[in-house]
Amino acid sequence: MNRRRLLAGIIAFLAYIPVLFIGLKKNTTSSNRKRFLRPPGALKEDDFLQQCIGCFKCATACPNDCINMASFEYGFENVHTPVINARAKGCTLCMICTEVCPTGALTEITRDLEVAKKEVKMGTAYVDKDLCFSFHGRTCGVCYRACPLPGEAIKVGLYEQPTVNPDKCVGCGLCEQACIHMPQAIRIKPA
Amino acid sequence: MKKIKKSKIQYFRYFTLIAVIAFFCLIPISNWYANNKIAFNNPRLVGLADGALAGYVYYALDLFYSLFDDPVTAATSSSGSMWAFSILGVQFSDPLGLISEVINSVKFPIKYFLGGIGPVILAFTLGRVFCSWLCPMAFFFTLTEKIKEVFKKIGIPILELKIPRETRIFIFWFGLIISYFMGMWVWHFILPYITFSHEVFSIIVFNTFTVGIYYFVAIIVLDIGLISGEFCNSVCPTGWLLAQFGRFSLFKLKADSANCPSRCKVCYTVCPVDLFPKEDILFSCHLCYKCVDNCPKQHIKLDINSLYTKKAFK
Repeated sequence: MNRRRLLAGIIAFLAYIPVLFIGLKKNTTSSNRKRFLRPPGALKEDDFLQQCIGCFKCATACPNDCINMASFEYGFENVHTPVINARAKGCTLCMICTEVCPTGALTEITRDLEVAKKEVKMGTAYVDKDLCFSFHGRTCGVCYRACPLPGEAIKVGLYEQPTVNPDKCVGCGLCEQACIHMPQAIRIKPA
Repeated sequence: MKKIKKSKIQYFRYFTLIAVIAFFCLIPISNWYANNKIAFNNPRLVGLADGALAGYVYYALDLFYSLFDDPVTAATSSSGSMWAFSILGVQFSDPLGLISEVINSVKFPIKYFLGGIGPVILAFTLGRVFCSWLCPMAFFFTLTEKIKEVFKKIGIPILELKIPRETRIFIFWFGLIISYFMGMWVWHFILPYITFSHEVFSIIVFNTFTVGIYYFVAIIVLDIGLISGEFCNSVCPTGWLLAQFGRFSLFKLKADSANCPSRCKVCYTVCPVDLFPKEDILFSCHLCYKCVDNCPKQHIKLDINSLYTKKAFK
């Protein structure tokens, strides 16, 4: 290999580096791949993955034990990031995790229901009418009783049939935890 | 090869290493205690929920923390793994994690950045003191050396491989670039002390190991095949970073080489970093004090860096 060709190769490689950076960055910034709940106050999914250092502080501080640290089962980029499995345990909106977070991946929110209504948006609940007991003649209403914002986020009609108001729902997952149907008739869609 | 003497300072070093490991085991346990204090406030109920042993642990911790006015805040004042731990509410952060986080972050992490001040000041006063006095892996690598000695006695051959020194610089840049695209977890599988503290957290909080345990065990097995101290010298990027700070550190070990016997090489044979205190400038020294203990004439002392003495300014 002569010297000129080597030089051309090096220059081509250097020119390729910014392309590589832009391309990879674009791939990682789509928010559609969020498939699970994050703790309250989390940044947008792509920003959150950049900001979180995986220090286990939020998971150990959570008094409800609802925050799990993800391993490889949630995908490569989510290793050692906090994840909430709402069916196992929902978030009680105590906001202790947002206080302990050292990097600001979880923005600090004061412990107040009125503030939480505005600031927190972990996801939105939606009801599967084919499964829900209340839509099949058996009055249930458990999700309404479990909701921290009853009457606002979840409203019940005749036979306690739940309807979710997506603007008011904070996505804490307590309704999904409480649902007595197996599999759950109300689910949180992460947002 | 000469047998390494052990003075009081070596035992003190091992004691600090064990204390650091015990501290990082105590952090998640005390956080667990605080959560149970809020939830149950009764050792019998904790015993019913998590098993009899958990009940006894809770009872013991409750005796200790009830000495404070508010047991819950006392128990949660120290938290976090080695990336970002806080002692009594004061944040500390890993210098390498700090650099990587500042590059990666969308929002500037003020708390984490301020937490880096303490460790950087430590690095500028005592150099790589972290590597042999505070890093939990320093303790585990002394254990692997004991294993190697046993292997030698039995007659199992040891590979004693060498890794080129530049590897750690390559790993430093590799980690910075990969963590930018894939997230900070990449460092958890590069720096074994972070892996260790995460495994401790995971086993106590979630009753299970994460994938990091494979990496941790692999490092321990790998270290048996290497020359002693090779992982810290050639692979660990934190060691390299602290050595760069260590060039300007205020205190350094210094040999009174003018009065040394010309053929004596004890300090060189003893040094785990492959330095020769008699002649070299010790910027990658991690103050393990083995040379000080073994020097036959006690010529090596901790002294102010020659950069900052009057001679340098003349």
